[in-house]
Amino acid sequence: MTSHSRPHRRSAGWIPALFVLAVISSACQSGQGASASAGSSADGGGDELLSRVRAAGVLRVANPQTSPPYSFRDEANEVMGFDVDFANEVGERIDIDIEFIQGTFDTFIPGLDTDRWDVVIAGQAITDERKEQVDFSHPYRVSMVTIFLNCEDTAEVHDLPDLEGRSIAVLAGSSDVARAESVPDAELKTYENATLALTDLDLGRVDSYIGSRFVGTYVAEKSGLNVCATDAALTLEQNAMSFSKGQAAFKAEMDRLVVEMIDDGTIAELSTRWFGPDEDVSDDLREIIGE
Amino acid sequence: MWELFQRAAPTLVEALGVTVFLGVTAFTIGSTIGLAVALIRTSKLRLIKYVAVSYVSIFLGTPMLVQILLIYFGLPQLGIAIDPIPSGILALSLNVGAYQSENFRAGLLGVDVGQREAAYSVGMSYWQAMRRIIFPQALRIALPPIGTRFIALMKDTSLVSVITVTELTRVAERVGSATFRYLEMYLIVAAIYWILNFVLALGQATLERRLARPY
Repeated sequence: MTSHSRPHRRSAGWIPALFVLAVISSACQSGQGASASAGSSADGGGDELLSRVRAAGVLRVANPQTSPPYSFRDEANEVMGFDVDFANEVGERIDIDIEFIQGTFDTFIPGLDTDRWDVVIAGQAITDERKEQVDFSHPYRVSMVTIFLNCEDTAEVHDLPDLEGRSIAVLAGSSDVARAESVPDAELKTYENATLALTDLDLGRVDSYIGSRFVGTYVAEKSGLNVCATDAALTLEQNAMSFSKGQAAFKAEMDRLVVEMIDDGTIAELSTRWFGPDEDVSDDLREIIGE
Repeated sequence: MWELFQRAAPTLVEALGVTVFLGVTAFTIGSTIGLAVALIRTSKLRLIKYVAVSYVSIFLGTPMLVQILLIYFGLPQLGIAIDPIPSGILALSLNVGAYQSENFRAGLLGVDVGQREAAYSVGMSYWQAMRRIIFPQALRIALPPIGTRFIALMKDTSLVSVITVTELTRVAERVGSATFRYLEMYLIVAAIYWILNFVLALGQATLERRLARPY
């Protein structure tokens, strides 16, 4: 007795294909539309964000919570750090509660677009690409970006081109991705946070790391990683708060607070507390803001 | 969206190669493991059977993402540091092996007991019976779930993006965050996965038809 089966025929595959095509083409129209309208949401004259935040009595702040000493969680699982204290100061001065929401560098800006949070205070660097998507306040911190190598690595690395042919670890969505991509013949590896990236550098699964000198040194010390910062001074990045475009009133308020905190020494105090005695960058900030 | 696709095309092609490589390699290794485990479980070797059952239980009972993270980020804390692609292949193979062992086991159990009895009564050894009588029939029964598992594996390779392997999903994330055009980028990559799996599904249908031929 032989069996005879008639398997399902795949000739109706064109139905899902048409559907997929329809979805893609409609997404293209809305894709172009969305990026245009995100910029023009300032119909109300640019104060919806500030009034909404004031009315709600709470400012939702996004930060990574994995980048000490900017933001991290301590043993008691409390959110701590320079950015945290800074955000709390902002909240106090405009009499609003602060709610911290954890995000990553590649979700910060989409999160602003989809209204998951109101402002990003994450040691986020001002870059031209980001400025096309969001607005920044005055910078409240400057931080040096440098190259880290495994401490056993004795190569002479003083600048980006010296990394040619190496594998480079960076944080996904950070401003360092573009820097790493500019190096000829280099393999790019992106990680969710600095600890994972530097652990791989310590293990030898990647042979260099580009990132904040401060965060890198701090993480290396805390986790006992055998990684060392080079003397490369790639860029002095300006860290600022970011929020949706077209919110003039909110920006004015945030700018005012930054200047206030520089003038009354709060920034100096927080910098010294979290970064060390020589880390008061108030003068650099004043120069950048152009007081 | 077309110009975004053109811009990302070289990276996408390379990443597609990595995805297919991961899928095919993990499937080959995993199926071999799966077949071995299935044979062990349908045999009378008591002690090894327990090991096999535990292996299947662990890998069916834990999320694949956790398995991948454990192998890549967890093992180094025990002193075993494995590179990204081997880690991915290892995790995927072990996972596929567990699922395939169940598929093969179902196939083997689905063959009429009478077939094996008849084979033995004609004087065949265990391996002769397996190879000539049992296995061809078991394969026909097990083919649909096996084929489906292969297609599912192709999608599961996207999880390996979290351990820094530059496959399709990782490229979507990277280009998306560089250009801020996430929707288009993820749609492009989803379409590529879909086309890949559509081709595999066609292959599976052809294979099923071939095996269904009366003999």
